[in-house]
Amino acid sequence: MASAELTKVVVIDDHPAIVAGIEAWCAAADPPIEVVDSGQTPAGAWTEPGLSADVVVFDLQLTEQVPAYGEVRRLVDSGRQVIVYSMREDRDTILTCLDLGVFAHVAKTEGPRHLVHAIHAASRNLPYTPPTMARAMSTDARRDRPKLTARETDVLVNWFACESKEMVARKLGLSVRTVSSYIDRVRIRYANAGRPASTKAALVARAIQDGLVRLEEL
Amino acid sequence: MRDVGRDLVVDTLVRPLRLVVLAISTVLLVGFALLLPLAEPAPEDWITRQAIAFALLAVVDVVAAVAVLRDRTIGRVRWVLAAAVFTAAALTTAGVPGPQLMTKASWSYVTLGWFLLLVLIEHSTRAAAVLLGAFTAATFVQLVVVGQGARVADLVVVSTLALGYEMSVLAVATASRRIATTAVDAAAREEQARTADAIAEHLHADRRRRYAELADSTVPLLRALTDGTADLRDPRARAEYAVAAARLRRLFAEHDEVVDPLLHELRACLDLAERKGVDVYLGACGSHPEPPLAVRRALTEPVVRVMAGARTSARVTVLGSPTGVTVSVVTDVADGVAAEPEPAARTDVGVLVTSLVDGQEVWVEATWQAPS
Repeated sequence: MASAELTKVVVIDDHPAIVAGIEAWCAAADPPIEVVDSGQTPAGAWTEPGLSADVVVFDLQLTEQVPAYGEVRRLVDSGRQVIVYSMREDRDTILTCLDLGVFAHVAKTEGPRHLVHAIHAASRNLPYTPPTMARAMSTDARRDRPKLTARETDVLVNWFACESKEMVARKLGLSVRTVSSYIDRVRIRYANAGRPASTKAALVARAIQDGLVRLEEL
Repeated sequence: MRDVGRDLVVDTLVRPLRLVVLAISTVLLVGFALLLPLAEPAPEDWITRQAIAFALLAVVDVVAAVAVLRDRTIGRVRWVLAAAVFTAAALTTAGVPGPQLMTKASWSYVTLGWFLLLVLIEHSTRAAAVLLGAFTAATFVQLVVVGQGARVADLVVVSTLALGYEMSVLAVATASRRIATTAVDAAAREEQARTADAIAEHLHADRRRRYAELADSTVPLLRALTDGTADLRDPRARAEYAVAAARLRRLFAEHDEVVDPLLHELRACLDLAERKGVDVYLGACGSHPEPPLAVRRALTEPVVRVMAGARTSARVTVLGSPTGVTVSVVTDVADGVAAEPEPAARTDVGVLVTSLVDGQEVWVEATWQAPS
């Protein structure tokens, strides 16, 4: 919880180059992030030193052809902060991951900026929504989806389009803070919807503490 | 298609023939089959057989008449009708004593061929000829079997007269069919030639139109390149060439049959920037109505222009909504071509272009609302 402490992550990915890349990004991050372990199978997250990592960066598409949703669910159910880092960026995959209770879904096309941001945010229970996740939420068509206002959809779509909250703010005539709060409030509503998970509850609790949302809004 | 055409022509040519044969067979039905047997007294069972034969022929005539007058084919019933004609022939001649065969029953030899023609002429001249032949052969066999071999010569005369007329009609029918086939083939060839001409003309006009468009933009650039007046060290000049090249690629892509033409053409516009080493992300969000070609050009044009100055990376997105679509591009531009912030402008096809400059970053959006 203490932000002064070094954030520890464990990386589960079957490609050594991806692991090496993430290690380099984490080392260069400010504040730096420590990759305590990595593995090609989920076992790395269940044994020390990976077991005590704050955040699990998890590749959805391990050796099997099917997405490893079951592994994601087990990690989330045991209270781990999971960031899915995946080649897949289609809406259904992302929404499924959110339903399972992952902290964030970062597409591999999105680069270091969003992954590092997401890891920092995850270690502090602050919401973070990368652009492809914003796209998935803005185009969600399921019947039980959280209802978004037109303004929220607008902000999400523009965030997906330009990846810069400053530019979205300028375009829509809002402050950067307001843009962030629109995006985060949507994220919190998603965390509050569907299947319960302790990580989702922590995200919602922190948002209420920070005044991002009020209890009665949920 | 061609078969339908041929059937139509055959129908036009053969119909008068069918009407003539119908008229002849109807006259024969009344004149010979009804009146002749009644002309003299005869045994009752013979009268009965004549009546049945008449009834059969009458049925054949009426069924055929309905088909001919309504200009339809008789259909498969024709074979039943042909069998009825043979049955009628058998009935009229059965029980007639041998010596009287050529006097009392020979009328059926002359007339019944026309009924065969009536039911078969629109179907196949070959079938008609075969059945006529079979019928005639049967009459000769019958004559010989009843011991009237001596009167074969008489039957030859009678048959020749009858077949002479019947075969002429068949010959005309055959000729009509042949003419129809030739005419339809010729018409089809002419139609093909006309279609090919029309396509060639359309393509030519299309090329001229495109050339006219390119003549204003691409040709001067190519000329400058060949006579050495183009200064390729100037980033603006290079951008001009990049724009022209991307437009050409878009032009080629416009003729592809794809599910999402806008995304496809956009990809064509980005191809060159990617080859130049710009890291391009192309993503779509939501579905949108299909904009027409002129609108798609107006939507991709800002991307073409911005991408000409793209330096390292670009994010191009197609943002759909139920009522319209926005094409958005965010990129870092080279110093020389740092885009002047253009005021929001609406093109003549109703595409609104807005741009936002943030340091080296340029964000241009082109939005189209589908007419409701």
